[in-house]
Amino acid sequence: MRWWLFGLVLIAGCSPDGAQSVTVYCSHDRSHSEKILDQFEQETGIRVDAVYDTEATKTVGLAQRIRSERKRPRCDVHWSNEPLRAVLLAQEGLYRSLPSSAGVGIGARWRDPQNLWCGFAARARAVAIFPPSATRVDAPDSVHQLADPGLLGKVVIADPRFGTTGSHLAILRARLGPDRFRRLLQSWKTNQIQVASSNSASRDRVISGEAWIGLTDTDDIEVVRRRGVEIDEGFLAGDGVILLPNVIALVKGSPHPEEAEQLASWLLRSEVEEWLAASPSRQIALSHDAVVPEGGLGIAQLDPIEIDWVEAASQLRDAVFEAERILLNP
Amino acid sequence: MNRLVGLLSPLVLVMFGFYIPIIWVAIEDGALSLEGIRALPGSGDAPVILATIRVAGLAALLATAIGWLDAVLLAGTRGRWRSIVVILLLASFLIPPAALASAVQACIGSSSLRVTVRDELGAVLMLALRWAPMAAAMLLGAATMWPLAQERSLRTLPPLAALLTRARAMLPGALRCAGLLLLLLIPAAELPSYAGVETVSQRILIRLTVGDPAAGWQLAFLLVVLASPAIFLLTRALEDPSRSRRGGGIEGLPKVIWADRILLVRVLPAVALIMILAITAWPRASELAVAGDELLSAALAIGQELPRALLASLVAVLCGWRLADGGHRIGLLLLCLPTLLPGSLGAIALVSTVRPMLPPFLDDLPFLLTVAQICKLGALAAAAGFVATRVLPAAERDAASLIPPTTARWRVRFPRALPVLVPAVVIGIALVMGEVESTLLLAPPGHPSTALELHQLLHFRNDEQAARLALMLALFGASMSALIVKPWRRGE
Repeated sequence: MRWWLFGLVLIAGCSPDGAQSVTVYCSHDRSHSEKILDQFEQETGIRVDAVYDTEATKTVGLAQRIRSERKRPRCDVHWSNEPLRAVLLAQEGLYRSLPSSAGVGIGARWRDPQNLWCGFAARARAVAIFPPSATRVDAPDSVHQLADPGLLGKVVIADPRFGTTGSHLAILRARLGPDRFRRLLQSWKTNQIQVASSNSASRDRVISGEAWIGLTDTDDIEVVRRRGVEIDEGFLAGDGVILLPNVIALVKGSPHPEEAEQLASWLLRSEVEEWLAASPSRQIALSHDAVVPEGGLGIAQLDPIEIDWVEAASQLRDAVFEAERILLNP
Repeated sequence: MNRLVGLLSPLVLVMFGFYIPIIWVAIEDGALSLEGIRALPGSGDAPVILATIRVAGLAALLATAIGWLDAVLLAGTRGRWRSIVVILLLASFLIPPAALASAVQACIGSSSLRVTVRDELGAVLMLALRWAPMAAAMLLGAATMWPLAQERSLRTLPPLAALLTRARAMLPGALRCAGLLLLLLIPAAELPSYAGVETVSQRILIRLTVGDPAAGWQLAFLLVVLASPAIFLLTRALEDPSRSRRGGGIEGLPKVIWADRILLVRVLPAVALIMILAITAWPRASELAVAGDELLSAALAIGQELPRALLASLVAVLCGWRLADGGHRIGLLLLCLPTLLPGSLGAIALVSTVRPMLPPFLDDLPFLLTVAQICKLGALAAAAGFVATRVLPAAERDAASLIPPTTARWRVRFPRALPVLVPAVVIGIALVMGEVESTLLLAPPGHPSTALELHQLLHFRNDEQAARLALMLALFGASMSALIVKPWRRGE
């Protein structure tokens, strides 16, 4: 009797209907990506089963889920909101090639040479600045200026071991070299930099005035601006603007390969980038033919630096551990 | 032979759902290789381990102290609003802290949230205030098991003397309660992270995520080794099992005005937080229809998840009771240990090792998720089972030993344990409903999880929508609490 009950409850809510479907693991903002995936369902009739990520500090995230499921993949399409973890998954042999026609408008600098992943709709790394009406704070031009003694204890970054802050540090380590990178971290430590649990928490500390400068992403800033919060932003242009694209990849050995290719090609169209650019997350379209919406950010306007994604990904582990050792350990 | 079966059968799930997968993956990741052992967690991890134990320990003690005071006043005095006080306190436990922080920020303004206790003290306070209602619930549950004669004689004493005596009588239970809370708080990562405190759970997850899984597993094993003696100590036998009370209402309990005032002050933060949540959730005129849809879909998601949460909690608590009933201390220890580690760890192991062996159709069912959550409830289940076995008077136990063992277990001892097991199942349901870590890794695509959705909404500052979800969770929590409160306040 008890086992009957067990089976019944487990089966409840499950109704496989045999229709075409595709499974996507998505770490982009659910409120925006869900609408886009609904649109795909309407246009193609293919049902999308989505799993959405949550804040990285509470979980290991969907990249780890893909890694753990490698013996029998469940995910067809991986929509990652940052590129370096996707590069690592590609290196581990978990992705297969995208269709050659997917994302044709997106430049080679935003995609894998073997076409294992393709970037689209990027975010810029940015600094959130305390509302100027309350205090005069000049936008820093470089990460080195975050160690300015005038900002002692007033700069906040997200936990450097997670998300885009980790990726940012890996890119910095690749560009500066290990010694200069460690010196940079040491100077931040000396300047009593605050470490918050996430980018959104960094931004919130800036909003509350607890910090004057917060290293975060453009979407984290824009989402509160559209809700009427007064907050400024800067792009650390002296170092070169860093864009971190969303990434689409196909998981090798997935259960719905054809539908996966359809979804990946569909997501990499310029229209999807335009939707994301117009959304409160204000993504930056990477397609040549995408139109920048009013109030949006254009790639030409930002002139981002060129990043060797493979090199940056190879620095991720060391960058994270050094940041942990220097910034976080007592 | 029977004893061995009694030990092994409740542990089958936890063996195949936790220990075997964990050890398997740890071996695959090189944590148990010679090289891995040489690179045991370094000195950099020691402060994090110590901080975790310090924060969890102090928070457990403080939560127990607050819960102890609540329990003494609630059990030892009578007044009109006692049931509502308990329901509100327990309901506040079910609201995810992230939702509360977000709602406070949205409602009062960011500058009001400038925390002055962003350090270990802040983490201790947040954890203690959140978990104090659980301590009160456990101690109130234990208090209902006192011998009727003892309870009656307490009611003949002057009010203050009675309360002090009651507090002393609750002390052994309070110490055990602190021990259990310590186990439940060691894997806490979310609340300490708001206070800027890194815990060992967080560090384990970082090691697993950023290319050093062996170090992550070793850190996890180190934690288990450190905590095992404490758990074993917690499961040692109590001196007098002849405690049981049946019936007994509020007749004879004193009305104490200062106790009413203390409880009023105690419940104010919970009321304020729920009000803030309600204000945040309140839609603008143009959003009424959308908000209605959101509330409805949240209620549906909770309703859909409820049977599975009930099943997970029921199985876990039954396993705990079965082990305690058989006096298997090693079994209780094995049941407790998975609670110590972050849920992601067990989930990763299950996905990597067990899932490939299961038939593909199970991918569409939350089977592994349920197994992982059953394992995660181990400490609660073991504690409930342990307490439940102590409430049977020795005379009844001896009498039951004269009839066939299975009949004695399920027809005599089990029904007498229900006053403890039922509240434990309800608390277990609450914990399953709020669980995020294994849900993210194991839930089939499209599986409803209110807690996970709430975190996703908060990340992108959808405060109002998150508040509506949280409010539904609080409402659900209040309904569940009412189920537990009824036996405590019989006759009121």
